[in-house]
Amino acid sequence: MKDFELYQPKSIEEACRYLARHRGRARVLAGGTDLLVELKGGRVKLAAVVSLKSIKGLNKLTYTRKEGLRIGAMVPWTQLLDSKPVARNYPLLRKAAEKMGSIQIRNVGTLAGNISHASPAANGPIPLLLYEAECMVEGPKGRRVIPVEKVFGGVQKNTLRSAEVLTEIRVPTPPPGANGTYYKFALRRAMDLAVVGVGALVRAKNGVFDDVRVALGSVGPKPFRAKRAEKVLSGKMIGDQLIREASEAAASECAPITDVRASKEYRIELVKELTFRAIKESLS
Amino acid sequence: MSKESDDRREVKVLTREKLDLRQLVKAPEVGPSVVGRSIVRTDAMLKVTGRLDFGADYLQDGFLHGKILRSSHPHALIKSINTKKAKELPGVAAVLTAESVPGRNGFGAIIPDQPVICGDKVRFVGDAVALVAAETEKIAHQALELIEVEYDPLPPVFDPREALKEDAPKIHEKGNLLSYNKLRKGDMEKGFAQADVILERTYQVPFLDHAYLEPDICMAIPKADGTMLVEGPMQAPFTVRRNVNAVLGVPINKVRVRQIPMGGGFGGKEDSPIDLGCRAAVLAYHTRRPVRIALEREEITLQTSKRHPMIMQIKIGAKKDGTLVAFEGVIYDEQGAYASMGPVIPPAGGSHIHAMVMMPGPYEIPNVKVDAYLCYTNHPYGGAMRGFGAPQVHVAHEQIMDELAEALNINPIDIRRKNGFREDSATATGQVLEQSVGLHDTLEVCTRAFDWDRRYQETGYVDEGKTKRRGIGIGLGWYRTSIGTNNDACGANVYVHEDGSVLLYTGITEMGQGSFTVLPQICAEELGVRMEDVRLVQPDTDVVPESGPTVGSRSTTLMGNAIILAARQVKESILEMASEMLMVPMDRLESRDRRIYDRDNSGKSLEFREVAARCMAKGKRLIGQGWWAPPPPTLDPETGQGNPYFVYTYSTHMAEVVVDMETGEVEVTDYVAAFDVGKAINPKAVEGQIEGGVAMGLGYALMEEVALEGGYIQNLNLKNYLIPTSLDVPDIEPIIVEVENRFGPYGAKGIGEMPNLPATPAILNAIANACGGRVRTLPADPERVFWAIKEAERAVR
Repeated sequence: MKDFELYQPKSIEEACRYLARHRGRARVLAGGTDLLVELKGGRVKLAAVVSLKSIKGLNKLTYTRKEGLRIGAMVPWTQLLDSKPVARNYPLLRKAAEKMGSIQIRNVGTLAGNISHASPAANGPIPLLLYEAECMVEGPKGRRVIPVEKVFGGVQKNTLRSAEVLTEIRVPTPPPGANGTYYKFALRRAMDLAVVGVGALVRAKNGVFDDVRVALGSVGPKPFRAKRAEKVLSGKMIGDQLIREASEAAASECAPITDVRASKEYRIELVKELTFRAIKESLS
Repeated sequence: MSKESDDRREVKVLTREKLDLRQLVKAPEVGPSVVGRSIVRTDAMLKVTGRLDFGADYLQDGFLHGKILRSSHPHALIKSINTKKAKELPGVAAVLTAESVPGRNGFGAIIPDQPVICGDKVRFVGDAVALVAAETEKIAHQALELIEVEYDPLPPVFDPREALKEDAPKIHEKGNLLSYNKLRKGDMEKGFAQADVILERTYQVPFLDHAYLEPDICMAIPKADGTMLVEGPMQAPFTVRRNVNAVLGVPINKVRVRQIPMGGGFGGKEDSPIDLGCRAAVLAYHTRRPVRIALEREEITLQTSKRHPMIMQIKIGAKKDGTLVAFEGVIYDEQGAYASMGPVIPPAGGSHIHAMVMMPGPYEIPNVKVDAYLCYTNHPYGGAMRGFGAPQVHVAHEQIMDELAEALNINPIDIRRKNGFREDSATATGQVLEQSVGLHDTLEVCTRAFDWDRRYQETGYVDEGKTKRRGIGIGLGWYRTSIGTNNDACGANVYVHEDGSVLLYTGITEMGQGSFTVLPQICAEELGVRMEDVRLVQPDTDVVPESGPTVGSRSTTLMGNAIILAARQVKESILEMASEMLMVPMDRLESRDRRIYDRDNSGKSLEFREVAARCMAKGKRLIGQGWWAPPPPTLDPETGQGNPYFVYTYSTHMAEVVVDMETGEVEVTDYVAAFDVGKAINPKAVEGQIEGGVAMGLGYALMEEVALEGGYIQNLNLKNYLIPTSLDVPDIEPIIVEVENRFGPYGAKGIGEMPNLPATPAILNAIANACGGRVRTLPADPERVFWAIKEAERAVR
C-alpha cells in the first residue's frame, strides 16, 4: 500500500475542502470494505483518504410515512438489518442487506459506500432503483439531489463531482399494494458477488400490470432499470406469455461480460429466467 | 471445563458385531479406557479463545522481512537482473539473486528441481527471480519494485498432451515427461470380448488451491554456533531440514527445524515450508540476522502447490448383469512447473503412481490397463492435497460406474454390490486384500441410513412450478494408510517422570486434524495413565525422532504403533517394579487409569506414580523409544503389480441434491457418509474429519477451480477463489464402521484424507440423477450444469 494522507473532518464542509485540495486524487472512506481492498492491492493510488467517521449525524437512520426512509452515509448494513421500519416497509432492501458479505463486512460496510463505489454487481442498487431512491449530495457549490438511477456512471464510477460527498440516501415509501422480490444469483450461498442480480416491484390492479419496475445488476457497466421490459408489461393484462416477452425484453437490454464467474451467454439466460420468476413471485 | 465432549449427541460407531454381520476378529481382554472416547481436542480451548499464538502473532522485533520478486512470464529466459537501485534503498539489508545461494540452488520434496532463486530461466509466474530482506515489509515491497529484470519470453506449454509432443518447448532439460507409469493385469482383448456393454468417457479436473486459513509464514534465525534455526507451520519438518541443509551447503545437524502452531495445511504445507524455509534461510545466511517471510493470500495462490489437474480417459466393459470385465485408463497428469510431490519414490510413493494405482476404483476387475503420464507445463505446480492423486480418479471411476449402471439399467448400488472389494478380493495391482475390508459394510449401512431404496423411487420435480428436480447419488471410496515408499516409518519417544507425568515426543504435526489429541490418547492408553498426564512435545528436529511427514493418513496408524512400542518399554519397567512391590507375577498385572493392579485380586494395587517414583529412585529405565514401519510395499515398475500400500480405508457416501432446471443451481440437501476406519480412537475427531472432508469434496464438485489464462491465475484471492461456506454444506450424518486392521493400533487405520474423495462423485452423480445432464469437466458450477441440462434436453429430442 502506498502512503496517503488520512483526514478525519468534523463536518461535510471540511470534508469537501480536503477533497477539493486533492482534486481527483482523494476518495471518501465510508466503511472502506471496498476502498481498503483496492488500496492494498495497489489498483487505486491516492494522495488522500477522507474519512466520514467523525462527522456527527451521518449514522442516522430515520423513517416517517411521509418522508420515507433516510439513510445517513455512515449507516452500516447491520443497522439496516436491525431496523424495524426497513423490515416492515422495504423488504427488498432488507434482503439486499441479508445477502451482503459476512457479519464483519456488514458491521463496517455502508449502503452509501456501496452505492458510491458503483460496482455493477453491488447489492444496494437493486432495491434502491426499484424504490426510486435519491442521493443527497453536498459539495463546494452546495447541495444537490441525484436520483439513484443517475448516480452510476460506469464500472466503479459514480457521477459525483470530485469534491462532492454523498451524505444521505432517501427512499420514498413504496407504492401501496406493490410487492416485490430480489434475486441475487451467486455461485455460493453467502459471501459472494452476484453473477446476476434481478429485482422486481409490481402493483397489479384488476388483472392488469399497473406499476411495474424491474432492476438488473451484473449485466452491464452499471445497474439499471429494465425500461423496455417494464414497457412491455405496463397497462397490459397479466399473463405468462406476456411476462416471458418482458423477460426477453429485459435480456435485450443487457450487455454482460464474460469473467471468472460466468459467461455472458449464461448471464443472458439467467436474466430471462430470473426476470420471469421475479415478476411472477411479485404477483403472488 | 469437562474433558468429555459437551456435545452429548451420541457418535454412531458400528462394529461388525453391532451390525450383526460378523464377529470381530478378537476382543481385547479388558476394554480400553482412553482410546475410543471422544475426548475434547487438547488444542480446542486455546484455539477457540484465540489464545494460541500462530506465526503471525510471534514478536517481530529484530527480524528482517523477506519478500520474493516473482516472474512476470510463465516461460522465459532471464536476460539480466539489475538490483543496484533496490540495494541502495535505505532499510534494505540484502537483495539476492541466483549466485547468492551458498549451496545447492534447488529444492523439492522429491527432486530438487525448483530453484531457490532462478538464474537462467523461469518456468511459471510463481518463480522467484530475486529475494529481498529489509527492515520493514513496506521497504521490502518498495525494493521489489526497484529491481529491473529483462526477460526473453519462450513459448509456453499449458496442456499436458501438448507437453508430450515432440516439438513442444522443453521446460526442463530432460524434457517434459516427468514420469510414465503403467499398470498391466490380465488380457485386455479377452476382457473386452466378454463385455456386453463398453463405455468410453473422458473426465477432467482443474487445479485446486488448498485455501488453508493461515497464510504461510517462516522464520529463519541464525544462531551464534553456526546453526540455522527454521521455524514455521509445517507438515514435514524433516523434509524442510534436508532441503535447507543442502541449500546452505551445511551438514544436516547444522539445521534445526522447529514446528509452530499451524492453521490448516491439507497437504499444502508439505511443500510451501520447504520453499519458504530455504529462501528465508538464504536471506538469514547473508544478513546474519533473523528473517521472516510471511506470504499474503495472493502470494500463496501464486507460489504454492496445488492439486494436480488431470485429464482421465476410461474405457470400461461389463457383462449384462453388471460384472466388470475390463478397464482401460489413460491419465494425463499435469505436474506444472516443478516436480514437487508428483514423481515416483520407489516403489509406490508420489502422487502420480498413487493416482494410477487407485484409478480402477475399489472394484474387482480381472483385466486392467492404465497408462499414466506426468507432464511438466508452465503452470503452477501440483503437490499434495488431501487425497494425493486419488480425489481426481475417484471423480472418474465413480462417475463411469454410474454411467455404466445407467447403460445397463441397473441400480447404482447394485453394480457396486456386485463388483466392490470384499475380503480376499484382488485389486488392479494384484494385491489380495486379506483383512480389514469394510467396503460392503459401509455400503449396506449407508443404504439403510440414507433410505436409498425409497428415495431412488422418489426423484423428480419437487415444486409445483416444475423448475426444481431432486436426485440422489452414491460414491464409493478407498484410500491407503501410509505412503508406499521404502522409508515410510515413524519414531516416538516416551519419557515417564517420577510423578507419573509423561512427555511424548513425535515428529507428527498438528494441522487441525487432531493428532495432538489422538496420539496422547494412544500413549495414555498403553501406559495406563490418564489423558491429562501426557504432554505432547511440538516437533523439533533437534529433539524428536525422525517420523517422516504428516501426510498419507499415516499419523494415527504408523505413529500410534511407534508410540505403543515406546510406551511398552517403559511399561515393562513399571510392571517389573510393581511386581516386586506387590509380590505379584508381572503377567497378572494391569496398568489402567493411573493404577497398577493384580488382575486376579484388584484390591492389590499401587498408584502409577508411586511405581514411577520407585523406578526413578532405583535407576530403572523410564524412557522408551518406538520405531514402526508397515509391511514393506512392492510394485513392479513394468506391470504395476504388487502390494503398494498395506491397508485401506473404505467408505460409501450418499447425497441428495436439488437442481434448478432453468438456472443450473445445485443445492446439496442431504448427506450420509459411512466409513470403515478399523477403530475410531476418538470418534468425535473421526466425525470432524468426515464432515470437513465432505465439505471439501463438495467444493471440488461444485465451485473450486484455479482459473488460469495464459499461465496467469485469474482468481488470486478468496473473493474469487470460492470455497463452500457453512450455508453451502448440508447436514451430514457420519457413520463409523469398525472392521479391525490387524496392523493398526487398537485396530485403527487412516481417515484424514479419505472423506473428501467419494463426496465429489456422489454429488456429481446426484446432479446427473436429478437433471439428466452430466458434467464431466469440473467444477459443476451452475453454468456447467445449465449447459449440461440443455445438452441432455437436445439429446432427448
